[in-house]
Amino acid sequence: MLDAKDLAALSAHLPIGARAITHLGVLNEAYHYAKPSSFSRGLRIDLCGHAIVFISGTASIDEHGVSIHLGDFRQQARRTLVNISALLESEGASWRDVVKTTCYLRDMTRDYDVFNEERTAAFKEWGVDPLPASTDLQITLCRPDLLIEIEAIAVFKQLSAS
Amino acid sequence: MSVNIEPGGNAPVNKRAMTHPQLLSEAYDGAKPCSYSRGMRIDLPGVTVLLISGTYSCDENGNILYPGDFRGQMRRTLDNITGLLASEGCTWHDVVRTSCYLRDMDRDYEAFNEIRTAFFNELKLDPLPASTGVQAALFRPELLIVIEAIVMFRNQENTGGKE
Repeated sequence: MLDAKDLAALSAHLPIGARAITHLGVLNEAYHYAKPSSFSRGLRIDLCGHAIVFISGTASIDEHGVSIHLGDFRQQARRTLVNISALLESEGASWRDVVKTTCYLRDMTRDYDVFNEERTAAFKEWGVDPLPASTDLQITLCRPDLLIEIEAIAVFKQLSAS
Repeated sequence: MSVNIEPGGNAPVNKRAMTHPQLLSEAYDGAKPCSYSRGMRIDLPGVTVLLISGTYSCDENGNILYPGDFRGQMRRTLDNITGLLASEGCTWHDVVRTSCYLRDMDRDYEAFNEIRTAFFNELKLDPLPASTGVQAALFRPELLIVIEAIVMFRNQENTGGKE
């Protein structure tokens, strides 16, 4: 293990200035659970007049951290997309700034068609063009009641900083 | 060009979707559209970043090629990425990171490594990209391999002549 002195020596460089992002109106903090999950809902990095926002794997949970729309893939997909919208809005951004997503489904065979219907409808409604790059995969998610999880990267210019 | 001002004093980054219609179809074309681009090009001051979507063995009409044939799928996947890279004027030498998703790691990882090593050797790739290879179920049952990639190269934009 590194001790505090080692860590101080390693910190001789200047940190990038990353900042956690949050939107308590729609979803709780992962580290506020009874069993804390030590990640931020997202992280913002300001670089060369641009902001890069890494949105963590986001799912259909509410402001109390409770999984919602159990067993209902369509509603889970909608809530997941809306939770990400809210996180982006907290930084003055939107889905139009998203450049990449990774979409994790519990059951691709059963749910991928519905996922695409919901994603296409949402992106049309929100005027997302060009469409983000994406990789869509089936994996086992962190809770058995979650059917979908999406992570995202957004990039936008900061007019004030440029 | 008009600047689309967003709330909070932000503006869109310079970006555009990547495409290579002669080699692979658009995911959003077809009866059941998948709303993503084959890749996104992002132009930052001095640096261009390409984020290439999970790419697989499909043709220009969206048909999955080489069902049941891992080696065939692997080669076509690499070729499709090569085409996407070429459409933005770059090559595998500009790839800094890949994520490789195999449906059946135990059965196919050896063939995967053989083909990737031969391909990268032929291109004399050095340094090799960073990479993670994991097993996942893919979005079509006949798919055996999906690869995504991150690319970075320098551009001439906004360098301000500071050499």
